[in-house]
Amino acid sequence: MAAAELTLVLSGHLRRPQSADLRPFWRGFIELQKKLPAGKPVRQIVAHSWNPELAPLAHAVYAPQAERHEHQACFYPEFMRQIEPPDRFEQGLDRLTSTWKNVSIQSVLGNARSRARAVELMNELPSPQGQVLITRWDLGQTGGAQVNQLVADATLPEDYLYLSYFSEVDEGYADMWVLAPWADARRFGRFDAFVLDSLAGRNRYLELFSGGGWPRARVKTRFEAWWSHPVGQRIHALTSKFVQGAQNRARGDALPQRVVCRLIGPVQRFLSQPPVTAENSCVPGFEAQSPVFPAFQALNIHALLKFFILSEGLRDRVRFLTHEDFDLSAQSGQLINSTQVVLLVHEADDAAIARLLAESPLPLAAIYQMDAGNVRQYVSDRQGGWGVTALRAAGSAPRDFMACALDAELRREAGALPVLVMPTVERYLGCADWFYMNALAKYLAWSRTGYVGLVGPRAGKPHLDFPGLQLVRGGGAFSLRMAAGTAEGLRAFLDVADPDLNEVSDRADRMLLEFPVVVRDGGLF
Amino acid sequence: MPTGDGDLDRFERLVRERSPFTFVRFSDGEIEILRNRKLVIAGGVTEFRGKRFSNQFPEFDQKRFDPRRGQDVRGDLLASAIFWESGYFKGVPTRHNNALGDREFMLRLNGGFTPQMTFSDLFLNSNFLRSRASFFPFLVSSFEDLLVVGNWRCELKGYLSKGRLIQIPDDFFSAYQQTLDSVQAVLQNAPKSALILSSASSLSNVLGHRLRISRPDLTFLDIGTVLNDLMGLPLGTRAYHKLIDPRTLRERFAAWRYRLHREYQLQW
Repeated sequence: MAAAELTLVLSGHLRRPQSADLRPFWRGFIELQKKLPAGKPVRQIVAHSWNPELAPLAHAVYAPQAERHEHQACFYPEFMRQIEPPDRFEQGLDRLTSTWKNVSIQSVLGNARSRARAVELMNELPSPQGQVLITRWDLGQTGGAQVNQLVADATLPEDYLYLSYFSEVDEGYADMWVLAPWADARRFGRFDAFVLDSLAGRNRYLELFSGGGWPRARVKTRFEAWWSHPVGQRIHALTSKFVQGAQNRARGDALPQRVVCRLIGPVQRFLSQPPVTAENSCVPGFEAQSPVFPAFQALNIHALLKFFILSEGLRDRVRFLTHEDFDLSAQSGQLINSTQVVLLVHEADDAAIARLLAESPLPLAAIYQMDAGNVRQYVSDRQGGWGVTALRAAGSAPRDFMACALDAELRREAGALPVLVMPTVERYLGCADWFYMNALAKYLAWSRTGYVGLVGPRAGKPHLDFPGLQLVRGGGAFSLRMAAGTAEGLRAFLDVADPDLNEVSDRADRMLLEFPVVVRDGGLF
Repeated sequence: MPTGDGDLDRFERLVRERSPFTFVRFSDGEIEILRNRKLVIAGGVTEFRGKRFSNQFPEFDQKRFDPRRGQDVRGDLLASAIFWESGYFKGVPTRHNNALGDREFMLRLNGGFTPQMTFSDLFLNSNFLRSRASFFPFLVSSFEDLLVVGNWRCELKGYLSKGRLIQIPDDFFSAYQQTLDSVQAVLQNAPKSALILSSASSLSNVLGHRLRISRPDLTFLDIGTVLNDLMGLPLGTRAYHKLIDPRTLRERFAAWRYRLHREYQLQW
């Protein structure tokens, strides 16, 4: 593997305990694809999860080179006799009302162990070099934007450890993602042992955090403490929104607009002041008064990550980034393990097909051109070439062409691949979000969902298995002009469809049949 | 807390102690490149932070960065901004520039504040006259060998005339790699413990970083436009140039007004 390539290390829960919702997993996949640098392809993936029942899903979506999915054991016997006093992490904690009420030794250790086991899987990779992104399945889905937004810039030097920066960085380092050189990433293979040692008092973690004074940290002023409180943050967000709105309205050279801008300026400067932290800012004499945190707050994966990095001597190579540091929109995004799809196009001439073959971001396994009075099948030879076969449809109506194409596809691949039905090539190539589309194609292949509408007429009930899908009744939720699904699922509708494929949609609308449909602002295609 | 006087004193002390050091400056143009935002200063027009306005910068001050094509420059600038070493000083925008966000951004790239972080305006604004009157004459007189990197139009004068000019073209961004390679090759063979003064826009940051690694015996300072008159280039292109020898009543008034401006006094 060349140095300018990336290894992805995924860990944690594919689906949260006690939840049936798979959307965080899919959203994490879409988010990751969007934020990865376009100029640094992911060449190796290792994955660990606490969801063995979802191992086929993880494999289908990411295709890791090394993976392990296992039930999370109860760690109680491992740490019960090691925590002294036994109620150390309960002292001062109100389990009913505190924001720490859901934190437990089991969850902290589970997080650390999954990460460590994923990193250990790096040993099984063929190319031990390059930059490594250590992250979680639910990237971008929990916590604030400050900590959960991946900042991966292909132009940054690879010799450093990049972490996200936020106002609480003195207390601990955000663990949603870590971008590190290979050798530094490997050190996380003992992260779980370090966490257990820290919680059991076998190093100075507890002593410094809750007693002697936490390193590289400063005591916040009363105002800062209030400002970083959830209530203060809410007020900050609302005020910022108001000021931004006023500023947008006051754009122009007229006197009233200039006066408003002049008045708003100082408020905006105040609101956009960066946080002052001992980790980053110039704070003279902060060492003289190091903060001490309550004992229960030591059960804290951010603080444990910070102490790990300090203990491993990695701090000198740490560089902090925020999602606002770089304008990377033009250089971000890559498809992970892009899925082959089968495309049926109702109207496409030869020029359109040539454009499709050249420009499709998703790999195409087969194309069915349903125009000019017949059906033509294009099948990839997997070496860059295409075999073209003219197929004979039973009639000349759109229904007959579509049935002919789907029958041919069922004979060719037995319906293993997701199928997209598009009115034109232009419409397909105009997809607004290929990262979402790649995820949707994977979802279709994995779930074997027979039909998904691609034009969302209106909102329905949220679908718990995939983000952006809604269960919708009527209003054009069903269409065979533009749809996705499996070859079998789509083919089944053709047996009851009219030749022009219009009446069957009207009937579905009038019966208020419920279909999963992609509903998003601006549409997907 | 860094102060303008204190940091200039420190540089003088390093010169007296014969400890070679490097000073590179990240002003708003470099920050825009680091942040990967389009930057144009050319043809009397400035495109900056998505806005367009006119300017009166001379031709040799031209600068263009397009994120779609300039990742080589940006990569080198990032490496220069991220690199830390005890003798490698970085000047960054600060409070008096109304740039707290940029200051903290540069500190993040440095891994947090260290004593090597100072003002990008260290030789400018309230330090401008002291730099010209005492710091640079003292600095240049303390070294036997002097090399000056500057625009091809430059002609070294006064106490700089003992130095050797290494020329760079206008708008070197369009021939970045070639310019960098040729200038670096010359500097790589500079006499031992020489002084290098560089007035080469963002190229200074890259040269300063690379020479710090390959030739730590050299003392390298990015001088910006502080000594323009001694390089045969026009003065009057920056606000702080008003402070030099104001003669007419109008010039004195302009200098007085500039001293009262909130950006005049260096503040961390």
